[in-house]
Amino acid sequence: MSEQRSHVYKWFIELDDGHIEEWLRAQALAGWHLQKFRMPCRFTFVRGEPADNVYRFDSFPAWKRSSDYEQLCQDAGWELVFCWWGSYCWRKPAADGKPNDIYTDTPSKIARQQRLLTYFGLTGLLLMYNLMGSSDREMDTLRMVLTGVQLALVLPMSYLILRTVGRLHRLRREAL
Amino acid sequence: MDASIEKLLPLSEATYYILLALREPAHGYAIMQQVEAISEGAVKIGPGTLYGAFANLEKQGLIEMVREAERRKIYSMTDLGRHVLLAQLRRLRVMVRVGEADAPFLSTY
Repeated sequence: MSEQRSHVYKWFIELDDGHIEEWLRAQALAGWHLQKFRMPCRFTFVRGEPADNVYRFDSFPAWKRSSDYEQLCQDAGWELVFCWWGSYCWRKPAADGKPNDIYTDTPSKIARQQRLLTYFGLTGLLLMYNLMGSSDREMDTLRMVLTGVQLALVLPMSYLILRTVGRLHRLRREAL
Repeated sequence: MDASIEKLLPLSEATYYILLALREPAHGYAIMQQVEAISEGAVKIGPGTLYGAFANLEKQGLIEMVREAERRKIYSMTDLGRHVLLAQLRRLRVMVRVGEADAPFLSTY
């Protein structure tokens, strides 16, 4: 018998606010387990027994993908669902007695948000640099499309930077 | 106290327990289990936290990778790591002593 699959298109702006993780857990409780994810918004689920699985996302710069990190997570009971361009999605049973979080103390949560902020900040700067440079150049159709795409990315990127800064402030207050 | 040791203090709770767990060379998962055992279940360390702690502690020279076994790195505490752990213990002793001596009202709670 072939696997029963479902594709869900779900728009989201960030993986780090917990909403997607909770949604995936609810899907697993209903017997739909995440099999793969395709950018920008396609989630593929496969039908199985209902299970209380927690999902966690984590991100590193793509060039810093680490087999040591992956081994540590797997030893700690996490199953790698997918890894795309440095973004990891991990899953494990909620009640296996091991921590249900990849990051378990405030200093490491702060370090993670700082890493994300550097990543978003550099992307934002690159975006601004490209946009400012394009005002001096002649516009052909391709350049107009590229500029339009970059302009469309400015707001989401600003939102991500502000959210990350907000999370950093909250975590630093907690650490006091 | 040596200034190079002083500037590494205080250790975070996770770092303190990781160093304590490294009284013998061990790989990451063994350290996670050891930390939970010696803290009587009070401290559980996730893999992302441990991965970052390894990187920091190695950079600070408190631990070192001694070998690899079955794709897992085995870490050991360095002499500097032992000195820092000892200095942290001294700090904690002073804090407990001062707390017990100067805040007797706490015993009423």
